Amino acid sequence: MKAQQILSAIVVAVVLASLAIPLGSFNTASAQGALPREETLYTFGAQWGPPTSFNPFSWESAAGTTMLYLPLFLYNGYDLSIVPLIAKSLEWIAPDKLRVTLRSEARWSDGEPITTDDVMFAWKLGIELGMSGGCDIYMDLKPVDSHTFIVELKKPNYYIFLTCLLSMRPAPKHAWESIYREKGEDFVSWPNMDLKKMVVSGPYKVRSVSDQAIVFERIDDWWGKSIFGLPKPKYIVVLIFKDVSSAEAAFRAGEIDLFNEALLDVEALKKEYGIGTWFEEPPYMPWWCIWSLYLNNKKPPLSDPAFRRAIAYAIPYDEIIAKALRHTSYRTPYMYALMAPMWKMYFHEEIAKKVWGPKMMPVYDPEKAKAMLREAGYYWKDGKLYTPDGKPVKLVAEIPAGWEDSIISLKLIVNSLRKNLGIEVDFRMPDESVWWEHLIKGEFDITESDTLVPVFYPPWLTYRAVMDPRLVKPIGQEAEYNLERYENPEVAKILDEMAKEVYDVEKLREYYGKLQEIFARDLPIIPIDYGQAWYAYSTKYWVGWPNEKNPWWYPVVTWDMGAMLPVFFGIAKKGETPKVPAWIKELAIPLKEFWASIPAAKPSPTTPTTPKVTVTAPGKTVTVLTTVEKTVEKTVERTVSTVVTKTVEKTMPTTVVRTETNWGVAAGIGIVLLIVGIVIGYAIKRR
Amino acid sequence: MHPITKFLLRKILFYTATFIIMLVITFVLPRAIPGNAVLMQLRQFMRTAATNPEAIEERYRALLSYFGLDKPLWEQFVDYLWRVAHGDLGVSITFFPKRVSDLIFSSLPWSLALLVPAYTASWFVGNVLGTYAAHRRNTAIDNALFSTFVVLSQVPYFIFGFFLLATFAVQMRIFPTYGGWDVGLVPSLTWDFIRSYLHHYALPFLSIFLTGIGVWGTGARTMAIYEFGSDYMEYADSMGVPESRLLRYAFKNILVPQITGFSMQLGFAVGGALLTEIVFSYPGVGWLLYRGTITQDYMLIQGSFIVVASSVLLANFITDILYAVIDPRIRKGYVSA
Amino acid sequence: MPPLLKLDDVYAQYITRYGTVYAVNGVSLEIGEGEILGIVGESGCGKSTLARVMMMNVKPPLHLVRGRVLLQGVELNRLPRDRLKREVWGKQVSLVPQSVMNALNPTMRVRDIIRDFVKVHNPELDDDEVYSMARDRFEELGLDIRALDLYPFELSGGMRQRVAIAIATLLNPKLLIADEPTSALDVSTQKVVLKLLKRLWNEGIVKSIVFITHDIAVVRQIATRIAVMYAGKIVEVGPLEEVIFKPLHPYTELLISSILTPEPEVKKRGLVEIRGAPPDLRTPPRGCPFAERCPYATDRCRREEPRPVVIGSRLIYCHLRGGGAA
Ligand SMILES: Nc1ncnc2c1ncn2[C@@H]1O[C@H](COP(=O)(O)OP(=O)(O)OP(=O)(O)O)[C@@H](O)[C@H]1O
Ligand SMILES: [Mg+2]
Repeated sequence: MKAQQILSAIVVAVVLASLAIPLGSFNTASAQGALPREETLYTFGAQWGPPTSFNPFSWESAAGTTMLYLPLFLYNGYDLSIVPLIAKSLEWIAPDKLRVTLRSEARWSDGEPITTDDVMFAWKLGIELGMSGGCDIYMDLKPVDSHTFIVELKKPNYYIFLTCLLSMRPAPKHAWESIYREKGEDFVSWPNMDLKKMVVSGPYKVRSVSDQAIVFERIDDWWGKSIFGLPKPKYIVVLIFKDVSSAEAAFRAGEIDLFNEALLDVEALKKEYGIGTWFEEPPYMPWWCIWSLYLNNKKPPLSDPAFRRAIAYAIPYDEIIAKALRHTSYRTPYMYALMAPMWKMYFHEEIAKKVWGPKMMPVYDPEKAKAMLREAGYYWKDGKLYTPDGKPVKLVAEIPAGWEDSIISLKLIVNSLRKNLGIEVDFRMPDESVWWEHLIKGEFDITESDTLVPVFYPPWLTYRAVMDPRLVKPIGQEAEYNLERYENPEVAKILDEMAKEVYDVEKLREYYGKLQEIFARDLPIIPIDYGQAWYAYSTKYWVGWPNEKNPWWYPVVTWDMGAMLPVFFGIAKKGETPKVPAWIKELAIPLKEFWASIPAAKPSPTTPTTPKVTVTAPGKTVTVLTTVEKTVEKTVERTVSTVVTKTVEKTMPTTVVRTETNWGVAAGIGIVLLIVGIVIGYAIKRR
Repeated sequence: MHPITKFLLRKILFYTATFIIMLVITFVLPRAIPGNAVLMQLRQFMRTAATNPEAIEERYRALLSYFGLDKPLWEQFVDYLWRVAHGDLGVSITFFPKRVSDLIFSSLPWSLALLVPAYTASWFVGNVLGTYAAHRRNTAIDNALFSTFVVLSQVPYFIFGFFLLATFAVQMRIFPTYGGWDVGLVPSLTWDFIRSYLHHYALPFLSIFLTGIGVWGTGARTMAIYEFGSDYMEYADSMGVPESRLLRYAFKNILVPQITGFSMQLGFAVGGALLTEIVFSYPGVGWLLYRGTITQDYMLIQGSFIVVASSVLLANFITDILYAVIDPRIRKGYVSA
Repeated sequence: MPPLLKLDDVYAQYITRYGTVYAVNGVSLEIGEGEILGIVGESGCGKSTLARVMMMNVKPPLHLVRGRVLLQGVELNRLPRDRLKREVWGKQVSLVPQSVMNALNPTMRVRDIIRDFVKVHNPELDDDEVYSMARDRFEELGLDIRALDLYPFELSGGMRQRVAIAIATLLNPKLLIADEPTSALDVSTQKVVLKLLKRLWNEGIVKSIVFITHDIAVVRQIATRIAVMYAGKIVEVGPLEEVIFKPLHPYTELLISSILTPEPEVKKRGLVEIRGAPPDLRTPPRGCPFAERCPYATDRCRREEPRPVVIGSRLIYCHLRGGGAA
């Protein structure tokens, strides 16, 4: 054979071999048959890139990690209650001491019991790795015995205490300690992806992982079976699409059962494909957070409350909801108290009426906006708006490129500001990362953003995130919250007071009233609508989904599969009758009771001394209860888009593992094909 | 010095220099664009875990120091060179804690499996068809082929990809719109899976293959026309050498210049193929690089870029050698490449 | 005995979009066995075209418009191209084209060029048999057999020419047509090539040779007969010595006198001293093509085409020699 013959043979072989390379990348161990469709629940929306880790202590962990490592308590954001999961009961033994007892049945998937040691291990690991969520500043843990420990309040803030409590999830000390000892701080980068060795506490284990899907398989002898029963789907698949529109096509075809991403035309989907949503009618989607117009409170004239309030009347709300959101969201008066409807016990109608009139919220009324500006000393010359001190009003509005409906929404606002108020506005669409940098560094004029805190959580958290003056950072420095940089020392005092006195409902209501008043008066940001939690389901294979008519669990989304775990227990295969698991109600401890059971020993003169030491959940002899789920929800972005680029911007932080390329197999196949290629090449030449 | 040795030395020198320049660009470019990888990462954290401001700040500092982004730029650069020299591409920010090398080497097979056959096949088929068109110059076949080439070569890969996607996947529903295989399937060496793999492979392959045919066909036709008019062709013809063999002579002789074309086009082709991967959500380095760019993941951008650029350089180098092997004039040192 | 090759009133034209080139206009010619026919003429007069016609290697834009080409009585112009290729070219008639410098495929070794060529006609031979056959022939002709393993660009010009000729005659064709085999070579190399051709002829490897050149000095050294071509026509044919020493056609006369002029200056300029330029073959003149430049031209010459006149063993197309007489 000549050199050239060999060469062409090699080329043919390389080409053939390269065709087969991916075949080598399959984990042969995971070579299993297809999943039975009626036993499998397909979800979409939680995972946007290759899964990179199932380590809850990693900066990025794959969708479903919270279901593998269950929290002590689940939180029901609709009923506002706590459901103990690995924990059995809670008991306040002092105003700043909560005793938590674990279930004796609780086991890791390798049979080891789940004990206080595991709770302590997770707690310490969190602190060591800087993954405690700042909770160590607010509380401390004291072990008592193998199944009991005490949580001590270090700072008098029951709200933060609650979120911290909800975020607690035991970690398998027996399995992880040696790894931690070996890796130290680098434990954050341990992927925990050895599927065979993975030790979990939840009712599912990971069956396979790839760039396209994570497949979970039910553990049929799960320790919680006797208490909770078993979840219905034998398999749960988290699909990883790179483009929402192709996922939507699959959803329409009935290939996806639960869809947690923006949908283009919900109405058509419902009509033509019988898709289910939380609300039967518009806005269809439940609330997630409050979508607002952010105004930089440090930049005149945006720093002028009168100016901000005037702008609130220049926003074409209805047009935005119709054109930008296609009626998938709506407005309520509660938004202007930074709340969602389930917190209405803290809402003061009279304040809302006084400030906003009978509708209890601002309406689109450019004439009124103008009058308000004029009254505040602003004036117009040649149709352009000037500040009282004679400067023309010029603003920059920015929103990330690709966020289609936010762009429409902000454009509508900008057009109104230009047309109705004579404000000169420069509209820009930078990359998301640039926009974000501007936002947190306070280098913006106006933009739209969510409030970063889900409305299912106590409104205190939203108030803090929006208005706490202590979180204001100088312009140019990254702020965590209070991005609009609203500074009012009064708010700090109120926030602190109420965090101490959560058990006093009346007092709490009063405080909320004060905050509501201040917010409405100063309007540091202007709520526009609710950011939706995209929640749509198909009843082709699974029925009995919770919704507004039958709200047996709150519409959490698959970002946090642990938080939605009860849903998997309550749905049923098509053809079977769904039954809501009784334990959801039976074990639930209403938040109100949990607060109220904080002992009167509390050093607070105003509290009537009703020494309630324990609270018992209805029908159970459990001591104070509480369970909450870590607030790991992902705020679902309200921007929808079919554009590929868009999808990417929305990509959520999820990381995970994937099947490693088995280069051995790849090389093997390559060599075989190489030989085949040479033979073919030679044969061709021969002829 | 033996001409081949000299030739190789010159090439090696050239490629090393190019590689170094590429390294610098790879470092500077992602940092030059506004925005900040760690802040985006932080954003995800803030939006997914309602947490305390203290924790956010802590996380921010931890991220900066983990990825060494709190160090002065020159120090980062030295670190970067040091790591690259040790074959360490670092840890992805977006896909933490995946190592960039792991991410790349698990997607690279897909890219290779798509690009290598599609590009090689288009090169080969394009040259064959181009030569054939030249042989049949000014006939109906030639006219048809030539106009097809021109149209195909003028359309960028990914635009053509969109077209195929819209037509065959969305409209006619013959091919899937997304991915490398049916998501319901678990990758394995089963007939079901291989069928699904090929089914998904078809459109991305075609969009690279067909546009490539256009590019190569046009060039091949022009060159082959020249070859057919050349003296050696007439000589062989008048000696009774049959048409089929003349076609092969022409084909073989245009291969030499076309191989240079192959390597010159390779960089563009890789870019085009990466875009094609994105259009079809095909697993591969293109998608990875894209994600890295969008999230400003310096590590991922650097890593994918280094791998892609090195592969292109390597492929160029191999083609250069191939060129020398095929063209005896270079091999024997009569002409310098 | 019939002539080896006979052209009978052949007209060949290049028909293109931009017009028609009347390259060969009514040529009748016979090439007998055992002769070396030299064809001389100015550049562009249609010599190469004639060579192509001789073996019926005629493909668009070239068309044989009229006439017959007979090889040992077989009408080549009736055979389809693929049959010609299979049965005639390279086997019975071989052509060594002009600009043979580039006539060998640059990316193939000489032996591979040979292998392809031989196997077309003798598929039953295997590579080794072909190579040994080539080696034998090279040795026989006194060519360096190492050339077989080289690429064309590794050969000198003269060697390339000789190799091309050796290849063309490998299958012992009856007729070899060599188109300007010496034009690009220096004088000493020309000699070597001529020697090779002679040898082929002497040893009977080829029966007859058509030797095309614009250089009458070269043709003198080899031809047995000579045909003078002008503007697509043969103007005079006859035995070498006769034509050279006693040219009958005015054009031949001028042609010969130009090389016999002693001053090297003039000699080098060749035909330049014939005043005027050869006619444009796209619009060939009505009468005698040479009339324009002929010092003896009459009105008739410009009007009427001369007919062939046989004088002894010669054929002349000229009114002055009675070509006009019925
Ligand atoms: N392919 C072609 N298409 C059109 N015209 C052609 C073609 N080939 C040759 N001719 C024309 O035909 C005429 C005869 O050309 P030919 O090559 O036969 O001349 P020649 O006597 O061999 O000249 P030279 O001494 O330069 O080789 C010339 O006028 C030339 O321009
Ligand atoms: Mg010629």
